Amino acid sequence: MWTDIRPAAEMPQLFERGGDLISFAGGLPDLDLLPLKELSEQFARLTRLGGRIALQYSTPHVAKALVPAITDLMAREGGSTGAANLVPTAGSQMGLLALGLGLAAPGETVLCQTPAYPGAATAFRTAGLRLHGAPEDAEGLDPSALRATVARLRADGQQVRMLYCNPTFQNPTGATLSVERRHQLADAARELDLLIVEDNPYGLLGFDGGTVPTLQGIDPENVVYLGTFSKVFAPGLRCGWIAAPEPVAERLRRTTEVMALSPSAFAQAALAAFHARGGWDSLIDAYRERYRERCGLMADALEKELGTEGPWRWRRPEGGFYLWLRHEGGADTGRFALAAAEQGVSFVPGSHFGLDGECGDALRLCFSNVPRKRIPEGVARLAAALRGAESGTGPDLGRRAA
Amino acid sequence: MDQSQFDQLVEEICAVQVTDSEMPLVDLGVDSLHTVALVMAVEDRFAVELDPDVLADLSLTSSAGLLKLVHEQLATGANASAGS
Repeated sequence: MWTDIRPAAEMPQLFERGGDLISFAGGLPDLDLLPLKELSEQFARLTRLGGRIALQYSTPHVAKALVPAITDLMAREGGSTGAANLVPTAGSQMGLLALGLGLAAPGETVLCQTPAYPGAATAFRTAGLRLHGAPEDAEGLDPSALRATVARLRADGQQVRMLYCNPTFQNPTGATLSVERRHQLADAARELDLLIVEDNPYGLLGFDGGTVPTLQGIDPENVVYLGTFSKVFAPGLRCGWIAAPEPVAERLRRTTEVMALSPSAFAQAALAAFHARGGWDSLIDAYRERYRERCGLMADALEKELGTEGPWRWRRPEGGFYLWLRHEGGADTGRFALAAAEQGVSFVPGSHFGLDGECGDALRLCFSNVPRKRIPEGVARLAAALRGAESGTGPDLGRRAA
Repeated sequence: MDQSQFDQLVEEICAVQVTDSEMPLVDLGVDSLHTVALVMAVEDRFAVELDPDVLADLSLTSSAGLLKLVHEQLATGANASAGS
């Protein structure tokens, strides 16, 4: 008989599409920009010449041929790494679970930047870890308050092991931690013997091409960095990496080997070939430009439909995939999701990004994969749903706001 | 392209030092996937299609052996176009 020892952690349904639905939900890259003809030639050549090698099992290492593609990406944000520090993943979701399983024991605590990427919270919970929000102020993660929080949790008997954050163009808020804060955070973490987990899928997708130094570059010996090709190339190859101090990398290699036995040598070789042939610049520049345009269209449409005087508040992000809207009256956006579905639009309610259901007054909109012509229509539908739901629950909202 | 230029290409792509063109690449520290990457890049650079059997026994693949295959392929291609 099957015994449930732990309730299954749930992921929001992000990738449902079809019909007339305009999805602002899932964080999908816009693969219209991939040079498919060139890729099909490269993949065919890889299969013809190296199929017997690339389609075989391999060891849990990043192939040497792929290392330059990774060091190139990381160097753009001030990071540096080498083959001995790298662990292959099938994307950062696997990396997160590997960290939870390999670097902490069940019952230990992970501090999480909140609102948090739900995939991270779910991965850590699946590994049996406890989650606690990392303290923040108006500028984001607050290093001084972090000291007090960790001291309090440890005084309560909790083993606080890691701090998880997504400091650049964060999912879901789009916010970026300042350079000064990064240095302060790295110092505080080192002082507190707290390993920083830096999740950085969007760092190279700044709309103006600008980058911010990664925590990994600031303190490579105390940061475990999660990198992925999903947003700068495509998610379907399921290929990412962890860059960690050598002893940590060695431990994580053993964990990933238990999880997946072997990384995909084919995916690694395909990415290596793509990078060796033409580098990253043209594809990343195309993605940046595309997302800059989409974000602008969505933000303009939101201003038109929802106005700037409230009750919905948001900031235009400078990169990434997402816009984060908050209702200043504290409305529960989960209640608007059904009305939105009836209008033919979807979003992710903010409570998915809370560690214990908080952030219910917010919602996340993803602009990265919506055809440009559909954005104004989608936002009009969304606004109709939000207005309709709000007027339908007015008294309740009034009480909530009070 | 002469052998020393070709060795330089191998060095660039595989991040190793070719101390002896005749030495199998595997003995220079080039792993199997890197050899695949090298052969793909060589096909690109010379616009030739190499026989996949070049990778059948990696213990035999050397920089000199690869360049020889490239030259053979180029000669075949030239003969084919001359005859057409």
